[in-house]
Amino acid sequence: MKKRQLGALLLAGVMTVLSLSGCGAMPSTGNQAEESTNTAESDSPAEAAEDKAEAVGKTEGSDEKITLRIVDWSDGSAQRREEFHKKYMEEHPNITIEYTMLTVDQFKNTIVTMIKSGDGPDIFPIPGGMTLKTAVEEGWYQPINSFVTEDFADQFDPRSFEEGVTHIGDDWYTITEQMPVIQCLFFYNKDVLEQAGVTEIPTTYSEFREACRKITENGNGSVYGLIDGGKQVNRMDVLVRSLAAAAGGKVAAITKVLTVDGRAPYDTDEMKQAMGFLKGLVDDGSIHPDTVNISAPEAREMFAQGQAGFLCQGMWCISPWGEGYPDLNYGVMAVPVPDGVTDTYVQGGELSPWIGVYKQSKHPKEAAEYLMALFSEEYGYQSGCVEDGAFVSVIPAINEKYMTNEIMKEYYTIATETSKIVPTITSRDEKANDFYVEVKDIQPSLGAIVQGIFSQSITDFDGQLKTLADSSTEEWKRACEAVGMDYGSLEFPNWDAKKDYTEQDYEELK
Amino acid sequence: MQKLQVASGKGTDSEKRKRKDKLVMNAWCWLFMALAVGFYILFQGYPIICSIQYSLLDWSGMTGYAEYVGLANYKELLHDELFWNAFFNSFKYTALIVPLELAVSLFLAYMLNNEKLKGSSIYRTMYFVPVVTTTSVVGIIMIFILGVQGPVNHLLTSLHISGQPVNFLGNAKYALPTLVVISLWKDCGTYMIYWLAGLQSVPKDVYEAATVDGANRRQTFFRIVLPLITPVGGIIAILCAINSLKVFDIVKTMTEGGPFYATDVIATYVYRSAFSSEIGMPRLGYASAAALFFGGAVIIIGLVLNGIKGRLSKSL
Repeated sequence: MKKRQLGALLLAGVMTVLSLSGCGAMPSTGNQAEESTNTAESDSPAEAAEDKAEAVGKTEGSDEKITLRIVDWSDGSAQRREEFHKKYMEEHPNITIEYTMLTVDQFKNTIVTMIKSGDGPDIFPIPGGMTLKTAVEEGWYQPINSFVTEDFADQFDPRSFEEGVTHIGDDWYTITEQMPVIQCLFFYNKDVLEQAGVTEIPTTYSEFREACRKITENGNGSVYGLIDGGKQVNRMDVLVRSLAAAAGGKVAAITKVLTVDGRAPYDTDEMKQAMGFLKGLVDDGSIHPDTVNISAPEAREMFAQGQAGFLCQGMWCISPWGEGYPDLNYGVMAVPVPDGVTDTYVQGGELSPWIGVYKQSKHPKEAAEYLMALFSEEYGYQSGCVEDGAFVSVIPAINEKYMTNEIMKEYYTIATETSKIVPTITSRDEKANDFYVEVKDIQPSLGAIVQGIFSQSITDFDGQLKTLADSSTEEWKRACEAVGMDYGSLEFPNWDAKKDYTEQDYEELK
Repeated sequence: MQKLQVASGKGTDSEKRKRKDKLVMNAWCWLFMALAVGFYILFQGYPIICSIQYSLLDWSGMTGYAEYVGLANYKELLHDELFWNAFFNSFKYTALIVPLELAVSLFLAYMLNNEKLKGSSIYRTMYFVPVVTTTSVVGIIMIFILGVQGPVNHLLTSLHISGQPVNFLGNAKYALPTLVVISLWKDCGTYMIYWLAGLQSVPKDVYEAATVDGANRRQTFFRIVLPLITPVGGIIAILCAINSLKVFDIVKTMTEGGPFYATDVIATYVYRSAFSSEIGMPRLGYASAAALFFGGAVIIIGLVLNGIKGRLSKSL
């Protein structure tokens, strides 16, 4: 009997181990991946492209049925994408498009498995946290130069090309989805503000708190000052970084690393001011109580339903509101600043790599043709998205013609006026790519601390910020040392947060 | 002597036949088990071996670069406050849900096992429906039902049970108990079926004898039925404990481990470490170490408790 009980317990334990370890198990090991990288590296990109072109040449002109597999996470323009696919398949009857849209997290763990098993989609984006250099070294992408027409690149805004983001040397690997625009401006519901007697759009912390207080009081438990997707730590991270930058602090954009005076700038006065501002809103009872439980899209919906006066999100809200809430009477405003603070700027949007063609794709030419169509005016995807207010296209001609949405124009204007380009370590030192592979995430992050404030789990945030700053500094030093990068490269002594950081500024540091 | 030899010869033949029959029987058993064993090795055995290997690596899981670090991941875990928070949250969740789950599902099963109850199959189906409903759908709907402006809070405030709406999921105090209640509602149908199977194995004459002896329904249950189904209850408790220690989907959907890690359990911790990161790459090696460490701890705790139980029963 005792043996049986022991056996049952052991079995229970083993089953728990198996179930949990199954979460972390992947079908291949690092060594195998290394082998595949070596194989991938055996051909130069140009040679690989030639091989592909040759292979494509064999099928050209034939009626061979081709299936293009595309995986990404662009939910903000999903409907336009579907329309585009329908039109594309009508005009290319031999091509079937298999499009899979995942969440960012799902994409991250799915794409690695697909690639490791040699069954990657023909077109897919780079998952967050990975640099283009690393992805290319891993044999994920191939250059598209030889598959696209010569004039294709000419239509793009030159600012949408960047070494290490879209290109490596002369090789063009990825196309960015949209022009970088800051992801953190405040939308306000004009009707809610009017009902609460808020006549002036707030610009400072105290004005904002006062407006939120009025809205909450007037709302009587149904309407609150501010709502946001507090369940998404990344959104909270963006919010507090933007507030700190608007307070005059020097903080890198989300997922990026910079030091100020040799330290991770997480316990600076400006960061404390930003956290204090958020805590003040909590103390006033002005934060919608569901904020901690909901994601950004849910917050977007509840804002549109009139449950809050303000929402801090990006341009992507405009298109869904246009469809789902055509009568929504709203406007957009800049990030509030501490009282008496002027001439400060938030972190400008950074160019990020998006989709490219899989190195092992059997149909690179067709994949490149798909990309050309996706970025053309003819197929209506870019123009439709710009018209809807989903994003600012990387094709300036399309923006000029189709940027008719007034709110979008307002958003773009405020975003341009209130943000400045922040330096990035990858633009300064190539070893920074290795640094980002090596560095470990420190938790609780800024976003998690904001979540703690919203849920009233943290009352004294100073200690949390200090711990985060100390641990991050220590970890960044370790990561720099591990990859042979000078820790000083994380510091930009000539950075003036009131000005765009330019190529010339990088040159000065050499 | 000759007779004896014949007899022993017969004995040998019979033993040989028995042995042969046993071998054939074993071969059939292995044949029938082969598919299950094959799948087990493929989908459970291989991943766990990989996990052991990964737990010794500093590896993101996304690149080919992996460095052997020995037991460094395990050492780091020991000093990771968030790991221990998730570790204890998993046990807290288990300690809360297992007794509740066992009691509620047994109560339902006993009620529905009554032959005189009309439409018992309808009730059984009704209680089982949440089990077959997708957890993510349950989670999303529950967020709205339990929201500050949801029907539950509306009821509480309109009946003056609570003056202010209760932030069930946004308040660190209530978030874990709320998840427990939702899981209880969702899963008790499964355990109810297990209990029903146990209850139906109790012979009818036992009930009849109890009735003849004048026992009422409560006495019959506590004095007759419960002791008879206790062994089944042990198995159900083990299954329930295993399921609750690896809880993931309801937490991921409803709270993502928040607010501020209040509902972070080992599975969400492992998932977060393995697949997401705000700066830099995720850490599959570290996540594997966390999963294995937790599993190992569960085995050790189980063995220790079993030892204590054995000593106690001896001393009694």
